[in-house]
Order: sequence, then structure tokens, then C-alpha cells
Amino acid sequence: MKMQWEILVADDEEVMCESLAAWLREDGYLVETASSGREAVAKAREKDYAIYFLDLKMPGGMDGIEAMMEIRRLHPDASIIIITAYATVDTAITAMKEGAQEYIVKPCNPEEISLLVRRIIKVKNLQRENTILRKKLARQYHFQDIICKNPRMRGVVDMAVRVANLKSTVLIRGESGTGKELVARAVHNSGDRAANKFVAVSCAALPEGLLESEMFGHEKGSFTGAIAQKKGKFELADGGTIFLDEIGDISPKLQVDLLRVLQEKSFYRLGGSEEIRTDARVIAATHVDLEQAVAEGKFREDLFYRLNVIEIRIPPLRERRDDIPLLADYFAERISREMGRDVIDISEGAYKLLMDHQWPGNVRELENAIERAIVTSKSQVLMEDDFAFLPRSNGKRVWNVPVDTTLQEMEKQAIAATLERTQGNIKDAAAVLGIDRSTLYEKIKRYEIPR
Amino acid sequence: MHVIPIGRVEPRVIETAQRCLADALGCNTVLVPAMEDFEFAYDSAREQYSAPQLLQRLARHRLANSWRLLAITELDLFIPMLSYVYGQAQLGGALAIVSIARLRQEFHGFPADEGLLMVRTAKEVLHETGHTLGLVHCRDETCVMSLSTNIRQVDVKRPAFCVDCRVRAVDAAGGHRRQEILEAGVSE
Ligand SMILES: [Zn+2]
Ligand SMILES: [Zn+2]
Repeated sequence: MKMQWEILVADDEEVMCESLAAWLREDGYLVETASSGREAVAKAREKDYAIYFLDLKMPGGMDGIEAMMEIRRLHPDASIIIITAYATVDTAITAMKEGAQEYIVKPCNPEEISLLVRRIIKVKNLQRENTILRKKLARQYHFQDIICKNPRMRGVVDMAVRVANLKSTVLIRGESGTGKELVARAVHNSGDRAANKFVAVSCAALPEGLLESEMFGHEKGSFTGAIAQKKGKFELADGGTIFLDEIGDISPKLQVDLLRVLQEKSFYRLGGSEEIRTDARVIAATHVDLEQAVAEGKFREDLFYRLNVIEIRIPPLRERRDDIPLLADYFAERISREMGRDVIDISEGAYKLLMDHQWPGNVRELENAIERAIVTSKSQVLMEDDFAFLPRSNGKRVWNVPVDTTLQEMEKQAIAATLERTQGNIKDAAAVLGIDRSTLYEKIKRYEIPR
Repeated sequence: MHVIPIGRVEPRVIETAQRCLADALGCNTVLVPAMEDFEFAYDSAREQYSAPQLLQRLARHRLANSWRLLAITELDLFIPMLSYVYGQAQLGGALAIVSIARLRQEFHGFPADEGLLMVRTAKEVLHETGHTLGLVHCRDETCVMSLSTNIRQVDVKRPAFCVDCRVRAVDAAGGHRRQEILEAGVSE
């Protein structure tokens, strides 16, 4: 598609403004004019122009240089051409230092100005093609709603496809916000159960009694408030998939019930005597260390083995940083579309900031951050400032002492973080951690730390 | 369509303009008396005439029934921002002006060449008229609608529209030989 580029010409002399505008229109550009620096800035606030021609001397309290600085604040990549009646070295230097792309003395040779305009537009066209190309490329990293190019995450996607048609239970493990439900849905949608229901149950959200009725249903009058018969999620998911999120949080009694369903493929509604058969495929997910919970006697070992037939581990976002720009682009496009906004890009500075953040809340935190930035941003490009709400770490990562974790987990995290900093260099990491290399190897193996 | 000289212009130049408009666009042209009040547009510092000011004055010379009014002049033209222009037109409007001052070989220090001057005149007349028909610059540098900012670029282009520009120009001009010209353009 051929783009019609827009140019803004600002000069207090009307004939100067209009004649240049007319000349540029003959070259096929959409040209708007402004009669003062303030008007130019006001117009730049409305939209970004491909080129800004600003007269150096404009009355009304804002000259060309000041207007340029304001416009560059709104659009850091703006191409600005300063026009002046007299060439002085000082103003030329100031103009260029403040970011003018070019500095021209009027009257200008038409050849010079047409070459200048076409050169800038050529670059803009290339940039635009690149943006389109990048968006096209991004699409190849989409699988179901999972967006990634990171090799470990690609492995997760491959695994989801490979196990889609099996009947075995899948246990998806990963920190909060890593997208466990998305992976579960991908398993469901890639397999022969896709035509049937995918039913999600959040085990952490409900107290034991309600969760039980949620899963298995109940008969009328089986407990106070059970005014009618209700089908449970296992029944609804018959022929499809039931997704049990936060499985690590369920009570010992429910653990027994669940184990029974997994073994017998049947259950009773609460207060019911009829045995109900179910062919629901079970996918469970957890962010807690289930082996640990088993060791502490909080989670039944037999249930753990029933659930953990196939395991899919989703890496936290900080261990797949190469996916951050891709995800950020995806969320920016989707959210701006949903909100009827026209956010077309994310600045380099903002990408860098997003890449450097630790993302304890993982992909969900990133999604929320993009949404918040779009809500508050006024321009078409998300800038660093739009993410000012993210805690800054000045390049150094802040270590928040966790209060709800084990020493082992902290050790694991410290080792993983150090290895990331040393880019997998064992010798350097061992030196930083103050242990010898063989000990580090041992711990990496024990904690299954990827590197 | 009306053609008006500004100041004294050689009859051969006017004839060339009228002929090329008839050939390329099928436009019947009528010559109207010259506009002699042009000194107001003179800029003594630049020793040139302001194209926007002349264009503005030209509106007064436009007859009520005039569809397009094309002015031709020997005066050297400028717009405030640029050191010179070969001509200027109202994009999609009624008025256009062409200067032949810089189309002369003498201007560039060569001996006069009348044949070359006529070819260049035809090109700039079609170019500015094309702008009044709503055409913008064409990226085909042999097309008469390509931008010329120096005399070499004027000489590179042909005194004719490329097929795309011709279809648009002839359609907008609506001349009496529209069908014939369009068919000639497509069969090329
Ligand atoms: Zn032109
Ligand atoms: Zn053309």
C-alpha cells in the first residue's frame, strides 16, 4: 500500500507558508500549515508528521528551535528542517545540536530541497516497511495464543502439540502469570477433543465445600442452599478437557476424591448415589513445588504421580527475555485495537526498559504494564516515560528478600540469577557465589537450573 | 481552456503551447489578450517575479466561462521559499503559469536553440496543466509529470504523459478527442 505522507510547514509569513505547501502538494504530499511555533506544536500533538519545516524566526513567544524541542518531546524520531533567512554559524549549530535533521537558508535551491524531502521520505518508507515486516514475522511466532521464539518456550509449544491427542494427565508447572491456562488450552485445541468443552476450575479461589460441588456437582437438597441439582465440571467436561488450576492448594479430602476420579474415571455428585462416568481429560497446573509439598506431607504422593504423567514446565518471563519485544508488540496491538487507540509502535528505549525488568508477575504483569502504558500515553509510540510506574533498578536488579519461601528456593534463585548474569559461565558464577565449581555443578543438577 | 501571455511572448511559443494541449489532452484553446500589469510582482532584491502573486492576479483575468486559464511568460519566477520555479499551478484548480525564462539555452550560457525551447515549453505547459487537472508528480522520470528542478531533468522527460498520468489527465480534461487519445495511450 502506498502511503501518503503528511508534512507540516510552520512560518509566520503566510505567502512563505502557502507557497512551500503548494509546491510540496504538487509532489504528492498532504501538507498542513501553521502560522506560529505554538500552532505547530499544537498540531504535532494531534498527530506525527513525516517532516516538519519550521521557520527559525517566529513571533509569539516560541521560535523555531523552541518549537522543535517541544515537537521532539512529543515525537523523538521527528524529522525537522529548520528554515532561516540568514545563515549564521551559531544558529546552525544550535539547530543541529537540538536535533534538526537539516538547516536550510531561504531562498533555497529547489533541487536541494526536493532531494532532501525525498531522502527523508525514503527512510520513512523503509521504516514503515520494516514495521510491517516485523508484524508479519511476529505472526509466525504465534501458536494458538502463545507467542514465543525463545527455544525453551518453543519446546513447551512442541510438547503441547505432541501430547494433545493422548489421554494421559498433564501437569503444567510455572510461576504465576506465565500462561499455564494458555498452554492447557493449546493442548486441548490441538487435539481430537478440540470440538468438545474446555472447562477451567480455579482450585485456589473456592473453599473446600464449594470446590467439591463445583467439581462433582450436587443433588437437590444435598446441603443448605442446594436448591436444585447441579452438574459438576467433570460432567461438563465429558469428552473434553478439565483444567484444574492451582492444584497444589486443594484440601486432603479433595485430594482423595480427585485421586478416585483419576483412577476410576467415575464419581458421585454430592448427596447423590448414581455413579457418573466421565471421559474428561485432566490437565492440572500449579505454581508451588509439589515435590516439596509431598515431602512435607501436604500433598498425596499417589495423586502427585497420577497427575504428573506428562510434565510441561513453563519458564518464567525473565528466563525468556528474547520473547519480551514480541509479547509487548502483540499486547500493544491487541490492547490498542480493543481500546480503539492507534498505538503503532514501542520506542527502542521502552523495549530496553521492558527487557531489563524482572517481571515477577511474568507475562500477565507485562500485559498489564502495556495496558496501563496505553491508557496513560498520549502518542502513537509508547516511550520509556509511559512505563515510569515500573520499579527502576538502575541496571542493577533489586533483591527483595522473599518472606514466604524456603532457603532452598532462595539458593536456587540466587544460582539461577547469577548464571544469567554471567551468561552461563560456571567459573564466574562460582566465584560470585563464593563456592567451588563442583559444588555449583551439583546444585545446578539438583535444582534442575537451566542454563 | 484559455491561454494568456503575461507581458510580451513570442507567437511561436504560444502556438506551441496551444498545439501540445490539443494533441495531448484534446483541449481546444483560446488565446486571450495579454496581462500587462505584472510589475507589482517584481522583487527588486531578487530581480525576479513572484509566482504566487502573479497567480493571484491572474484570477481577475479569468473569464466567467473559462474552464482553465494557463499563463505563459518570459518573466523569471520564484516562490518565497525557493530560488526559482519553472512554473506554478493550483493543484486541481483553474490557474497555472509557465515561465520560459530558464528554458532558453541562452540562460545557461549556450547559443539559442529555438527547436529545443519549443520542446521544453510544451513539456512545462503540459506539466503545469496536469497539476490543474489534479495530477501530482510522477515517479517515472520520462513522464512529463515528473518533477524537474533543473534543466537536465526537463530534457530527460518526454513531452507526453505516461500511460497512467495520461488516463487521469485526459479523463479530467474531458476534451472532445478523449476517446481517441485514451485509446492511443493504452495501445502504446
Ligand atoms: Zn510540478
Ligand atoms: Zn506519469
